[in-house]
Amino acid sequence: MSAYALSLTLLFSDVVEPRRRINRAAVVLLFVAFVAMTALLFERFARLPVFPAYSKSDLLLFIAWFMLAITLVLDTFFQIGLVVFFANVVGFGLTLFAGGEQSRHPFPWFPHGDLLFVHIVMATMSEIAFAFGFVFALMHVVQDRNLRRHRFNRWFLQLPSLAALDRWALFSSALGFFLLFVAMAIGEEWAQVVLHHWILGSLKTVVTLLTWAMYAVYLIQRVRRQGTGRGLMAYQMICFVATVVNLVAVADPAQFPVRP
Amino acid sequence: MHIIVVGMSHKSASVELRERVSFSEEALDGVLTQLYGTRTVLESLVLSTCNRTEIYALVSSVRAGHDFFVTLMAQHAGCSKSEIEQHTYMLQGEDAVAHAMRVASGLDSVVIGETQILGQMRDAFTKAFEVGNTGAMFNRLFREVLHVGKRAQTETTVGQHSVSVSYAAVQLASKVVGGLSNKSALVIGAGQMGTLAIRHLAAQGIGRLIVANRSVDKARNAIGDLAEVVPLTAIPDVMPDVDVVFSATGAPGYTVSVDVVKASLAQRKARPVAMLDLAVPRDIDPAIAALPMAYVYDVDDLDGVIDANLKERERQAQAIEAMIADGVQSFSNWLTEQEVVPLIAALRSKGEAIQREVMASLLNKLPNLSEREQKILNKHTMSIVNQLLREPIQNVKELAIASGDATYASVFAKLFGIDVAEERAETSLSAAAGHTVAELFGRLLGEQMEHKPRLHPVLR
Repeated sequence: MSAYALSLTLLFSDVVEPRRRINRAAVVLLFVAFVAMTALLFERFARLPVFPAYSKSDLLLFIAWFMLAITLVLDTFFQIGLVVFFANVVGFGLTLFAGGEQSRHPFPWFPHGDLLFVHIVMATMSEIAFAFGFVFALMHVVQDRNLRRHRFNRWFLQLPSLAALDRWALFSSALGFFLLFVAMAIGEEWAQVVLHHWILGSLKTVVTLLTWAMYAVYLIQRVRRQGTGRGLMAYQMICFVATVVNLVAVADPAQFPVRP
Repeated sequence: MHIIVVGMSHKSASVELRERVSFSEEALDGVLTQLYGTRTVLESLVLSTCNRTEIYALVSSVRAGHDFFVTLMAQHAGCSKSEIEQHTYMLQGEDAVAHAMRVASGLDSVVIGETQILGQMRDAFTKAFEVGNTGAMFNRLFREVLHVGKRAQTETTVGQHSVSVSYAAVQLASKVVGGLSNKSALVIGAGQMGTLAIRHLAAQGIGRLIVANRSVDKARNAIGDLAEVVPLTAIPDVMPDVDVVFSATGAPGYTVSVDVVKASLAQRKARPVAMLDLAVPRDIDPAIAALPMAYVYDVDDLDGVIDANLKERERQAQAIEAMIADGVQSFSNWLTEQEVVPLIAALRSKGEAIQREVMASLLNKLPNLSEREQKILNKHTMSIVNQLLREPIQNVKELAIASGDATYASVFAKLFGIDVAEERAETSLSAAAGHTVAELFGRLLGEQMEHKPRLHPVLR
């Protein structure tokens, strides 16, 4: 965590006052944070009695780890600049959140674990895609603010254009939307097979459907080009907040009664 | 030996003089041959581009070298030596090396950070290398120079921050609408500023370009077939289709009103439009900035963008200067190492000779040793020599690099009774007058370095 925090501080300092050594140190520390998080995830998953019995903390940590991994790989090949900083600010926030969410709800037994596994992978990938959508929306808001207030600073120079950020946010959200739909469908199928009834009425499913519908509204508005760029980006950020709330505050499927 | 550069560039001479001094491909061959055959010049390289003609050389005498190069340029240009002297510069040592690196990095170019110069420098080096004008020193030096130039291109964005008004305007528009290749632009006014904007947008590969002017015929005459031309009254009709608006008319009052833009935005369905008002008095109603998807900028904002680009360029230039300092130091270290290498080789061979003598003596005194025992003894006596020499050798290298000359190396040679480069050692000893032998010996055996590394005498 310290390496992660220090790395982000150095990345911020590099944006404000670029120095090659600072930038290199930040990237090295980011890599150290990646290794530490990988080890932590391994350690946590190794302790699980069965794979799907992860806790919310594990999931948040996994999302943060995945974001960190993607940004490190992309930056190595494409020099994505400020995306690294913004994505890892969000990743760091999720890691902090994961630290405060240590409770575990392990399943004693899981039939049809393969179906559940696919459901979890799809749902996690959708959350990662939404997280990136949030990152691009946040960058859009910052750049829009620069352009509106005529602030021509380093952030202005370094941040991509509004059009590019809007496009990336749309792509990430659309991808997350599709993956979440598949995850929900598989989740329902698993419930039908294991619990012998649909779980559409469960709180988790209802809230997930709500967040999915929120993203649907964003996508429709964006595709039909209704509403302003700023307003849509703010709305998209709210959608992600709802996703995180759903992730950490709403009871997960681990609490569904399972009949052997 | 001295490294010098004698040359002229856009900073020191007019284009008339530069084009006379500039060497064509054929003339360059002749000049390189001439330099090759000159006793004063040990190694040389000629860089001749449209903006500069420079001769880099390793010379035995600075004065003679300078005089020779000025004469060469004067003869080639067909003008007097004094005229050439007035418009040339001469740098030597560290300044000359750093200058070469600055040139290769594009810091000394007309357009700061331009990348073409690195290729020209590489060609100049290749040419000099092929005809045999470069030796070990220039081969190493220009490898370092090209490395710094390459780093400047890949690790900084110095070339991406132009400070022209037209660039700033396009940059600002691009930050709103993204790349211009598939976008439409409207330029209002085909005067001097408008024509400049049209040409710049066309050069940027804008997808569709429309020009609105009071007189359609005049606009067509001014810009040819670079853009579609419409009258000013057609602005409301074309406005919904355009992503970027440049306005530069001399007309009083607002040419683009809030109502027109509001109506166009309604049709554009939340696609943003960047509006750049290059006119004074302003053409675009500032109240348009309050509309949700309209981004309006005037000439003061362009100044702000230019200022940001300037600051960024300065930052990047500072980063390149740090690379240049590293490059100069690296070259200096290499020069110093070249002086220490023969000493180390001599010390090693002396150590090995002693070990061989000891082994021979042992074998005489212990004739019944088995082959295995002999091997073990040989290995262990060699190990003693290696262990004894390892640290002093490492330290003499570091101290030589830190001091920038062979002072420590010569003391080291004396201490170990080695006769490598006797004459060099003598001159170096005089430079070491400030140090006591005990102090130097202590340092050789591993004391911490107290001061920053100094440059090799060739670079001072």
